[in-house]
Amino acid sequence: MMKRLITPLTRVTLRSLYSTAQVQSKVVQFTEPRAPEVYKNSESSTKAIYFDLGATTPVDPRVLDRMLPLYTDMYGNPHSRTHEYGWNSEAQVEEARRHVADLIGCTSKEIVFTSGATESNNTAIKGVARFYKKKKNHIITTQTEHKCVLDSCRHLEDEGFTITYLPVKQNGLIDLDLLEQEITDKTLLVSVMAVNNEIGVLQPLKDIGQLCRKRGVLFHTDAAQAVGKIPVNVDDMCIDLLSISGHKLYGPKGIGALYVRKNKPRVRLAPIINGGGQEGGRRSGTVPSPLVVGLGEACRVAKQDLERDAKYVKELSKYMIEGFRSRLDHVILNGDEEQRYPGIVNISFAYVEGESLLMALNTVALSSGSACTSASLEPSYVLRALGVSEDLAHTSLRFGIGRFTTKKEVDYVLDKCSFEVERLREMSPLYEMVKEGIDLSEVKWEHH
Amino acid sequence: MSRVQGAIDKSQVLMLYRNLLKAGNKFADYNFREYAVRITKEDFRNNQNDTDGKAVEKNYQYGLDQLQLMRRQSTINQMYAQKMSFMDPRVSDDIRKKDEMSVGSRTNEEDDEH
Ligand SMILES: Cc1ncc(COP(=O)(O)O)c(C=O)c1O
Repeated sequence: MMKRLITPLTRVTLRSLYSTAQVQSKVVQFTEPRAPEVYKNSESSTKAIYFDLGATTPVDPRVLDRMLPLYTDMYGNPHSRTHEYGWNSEAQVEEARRHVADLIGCTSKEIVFTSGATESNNTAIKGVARFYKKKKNHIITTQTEHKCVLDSCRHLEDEGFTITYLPVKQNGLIDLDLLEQEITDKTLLVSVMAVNNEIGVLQPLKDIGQLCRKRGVLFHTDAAQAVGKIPVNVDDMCIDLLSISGHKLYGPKGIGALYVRKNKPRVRLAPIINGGGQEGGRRSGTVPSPLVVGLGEACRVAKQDLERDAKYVKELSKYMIEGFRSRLDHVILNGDEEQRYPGIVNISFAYVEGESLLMALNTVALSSGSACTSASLEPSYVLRALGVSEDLAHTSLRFGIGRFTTKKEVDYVLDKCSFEVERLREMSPLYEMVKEGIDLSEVKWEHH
Repeated sequence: MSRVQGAIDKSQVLMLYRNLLKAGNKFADYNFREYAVRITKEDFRNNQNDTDGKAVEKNYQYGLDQLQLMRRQSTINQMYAQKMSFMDPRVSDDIRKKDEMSVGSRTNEEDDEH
């Protein structure tokens, strides 16, 4: 009953994709036999331009190159003590740990490998809360955190903890005075993310860290979208716990790390996964050496190229934002203009339904919010926390820009998206009224 | 380019540069290809005035290692490549037009599995 919608790309069909001028070019010769087909429900012959880097990043070839030997050759369990398979794997894991530590300015012993930022956040928040619960029972976080932080906090509420969900200002940043007011002598932990995954704003980590240090409160930051893209140093920023995700910095999925401060203060946590006592008892389970090596290499490359990547992403981002502003009216950049990681650009195209725009942009891979919330039609809770109206929140798209994005891709998305926005606006009665100079906020609607 | 001291001469550097571009151009993936070419050009431009023999030697060795890596990875990339990027210059305008028209790849009602 399932109709096969795709014809596997054979050499012949691939050839027919080449524009005639380049048919003779020997740039690519796909080797036979063909690899297993991965496209399931696809009608297009090409893959969409990837602008969803906030959801996940491609694996850098340098990363894959380091990982492959651990799948094909050196498959030992890094905890095996009796043979070379194990020793080699362990040595690779420890080298990777150093690369992760170097990127954020800590020591290897302070890095715990996890399955991703979700687990790191769970371990940090629940682990610290449960370890110190006899002394303190109050945690402060923000309304714009990733779901895994918010949900961990909800579970702690059931366990008797008090949680403060700090509001954010219209620019998406927290109010430091408000944070200071909320800290009491029962406050154990402040958890504020570094870069927001939906709008890209960068919280003032150093100010938060210094405040927490002064008040004797632990500071955790979910830096999944920040590490490897902007400079992060746990000592400069007074960070006590920090979450990293492999697949946001051109590493593999299913791997992450948690930084846990060892000195001044020494942070303790009750592990949420119990077992063989790996990772110093902080996270049991066989360490997935190929993934860890991938994360390590991703961190090494990120550190080596941080300046180059940051400059490149910043330029493209500026080019994109200015491009939309010059082509269209009523485009709103969500989140602070300056205090941001430029690789996440969240824009509201007023009077256009975001979902319709997404449909029209079928040659571009994009999302209307974060990957985990885009399945629902509810407007993003992050945008609502900024006070963005529901109407406007529904018109927003999130563009991700990274080291593999090209200027040509940005040019294409600027033209295509602007064209579709104008087309959809032509069909919108609201936009018609705006063009006629009617102030929509003054209009009295019959029904609501 | 100024005169390179030490064991590495200008022709070796040029050869390495050409080989790196060639290997980078073999990625089937449009984005990896563009990136490889961009950073190779950037790196060589940044280092073209290096006169310190030690630095030249170090960069040369780094370049050789990168070359091996790019050759391995572009081969693997080709072996598993399935579709070209919409942006790939080797995609014809006709195909591009057709793909821009094709909608419904997001929701597929005939497929009842998830
Ligand atoms: C800010 C933030 N935190 C946590 C996560 C979850 O990371 P992971 O997929 O590694 O569990 C993500 C990614 O979706 C994120 O953007």
